[in-house]
Amino acid sequence: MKLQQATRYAIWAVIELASRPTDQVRAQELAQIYRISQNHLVRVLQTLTRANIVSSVRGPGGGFTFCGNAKRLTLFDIISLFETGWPGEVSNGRPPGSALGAELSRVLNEVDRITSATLRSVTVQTIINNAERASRMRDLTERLPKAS
Amino acid sequence: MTSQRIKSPEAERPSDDEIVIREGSRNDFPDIIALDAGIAGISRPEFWHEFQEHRAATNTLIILVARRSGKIVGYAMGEVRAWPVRGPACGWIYAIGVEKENRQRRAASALMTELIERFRAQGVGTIRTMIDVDDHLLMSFLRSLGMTAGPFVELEMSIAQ
Ligand SMILES: CC(C)(COP(=O)(O)OP(=O)(O)OC[C@H]1O[C@@H](n2cnc3c(N)ncnc32)[C@H](O)[C@@H]1OP(=O)(O)O)[C@@H](O)C(=O)NCCC(=O)NCCS
Repeated sequence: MKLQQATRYAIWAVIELASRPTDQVRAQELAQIYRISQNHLVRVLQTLTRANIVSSVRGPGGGFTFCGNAKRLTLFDIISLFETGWPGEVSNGRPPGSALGAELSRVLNEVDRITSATLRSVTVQTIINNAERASRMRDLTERLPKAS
Repeated sequence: MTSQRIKSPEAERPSDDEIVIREGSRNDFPDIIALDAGIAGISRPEFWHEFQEHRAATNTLIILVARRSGKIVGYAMGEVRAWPVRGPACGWIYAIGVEKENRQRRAASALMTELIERFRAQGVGTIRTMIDVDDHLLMSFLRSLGMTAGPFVELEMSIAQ
């Protein structure tokens, strides 16, 4: 699945901010964590601010905070702020009356439907919880005595 | 028989607001069927009767109900099965639903907790289910528990002539 750079930055920023909801995080810090361009990130954060997903406080000690509802905000909600006509764009170009075109369109629709269902059902909180669960499991496995 | 309560677990008797999880009895079936018809949008008594008979015959099927103020507001059904044949047996969730008016009170979470406990007691390490790809609400709920796509995909074909 190919997402635009801005979309990827938005997903990273939202997840990072939502995982530390009490912190004011500066764009510079976010850009450093993900090794991405701060200028591009700032534009993305402005779009997220307009969508009431993050809020910003200016000045020293200021930064960006997550202000959305992590349990309801899905990956699809974030993606659709940045990608237009997605998903479903590819599957509409069927030549009228062509059986091969119709079949190709059906296959592409199948992919879109699954992708869309996945993105619409994965919330920001689900990602954070799964990541925490995975690192707890990793810690647990590392603490287990190794079989010699 | 185990039962699970959410909210005020220290209380002797469940308070009015409390969700109580119990094994569904034969007498609960009419209520479960009516509730399921409201939730799924189709009445499917034969589906439930088949499972009722299956439970009586095999003793492997788990049917749980969530009650609030004595009324059945949710149900969950599952079974440990070695299917698909590849891989060890796992806990299959066949159905789960909560009445619209009683959603977002963690009734479904409590049903799942109890179901998972029962599966664990039978020695399985994985749960699995199959749901409508367009049911984003149910998928969201199951994903919120930590469920993710597994290694199988459902394929089908019409064989009508
Ligand atoms: C999916 C369903 C079972 C959830 O029941 P519920 O009792 O409301 O769920 P819970 O209160 O235990 O919710 C647990 C988590 O699920 C997620 N969730 C529940 N409702 C949600 C919603 N409307 N949107 C997004 N996520 C939701 C949340 O992460 C929630 O956690 P939270 O309480 O911390 O917010 C219920 O909505 C339902 O019955 N839907 C219809 C399912 C169906 O058709 N069944 C019949 C065929 S199997």
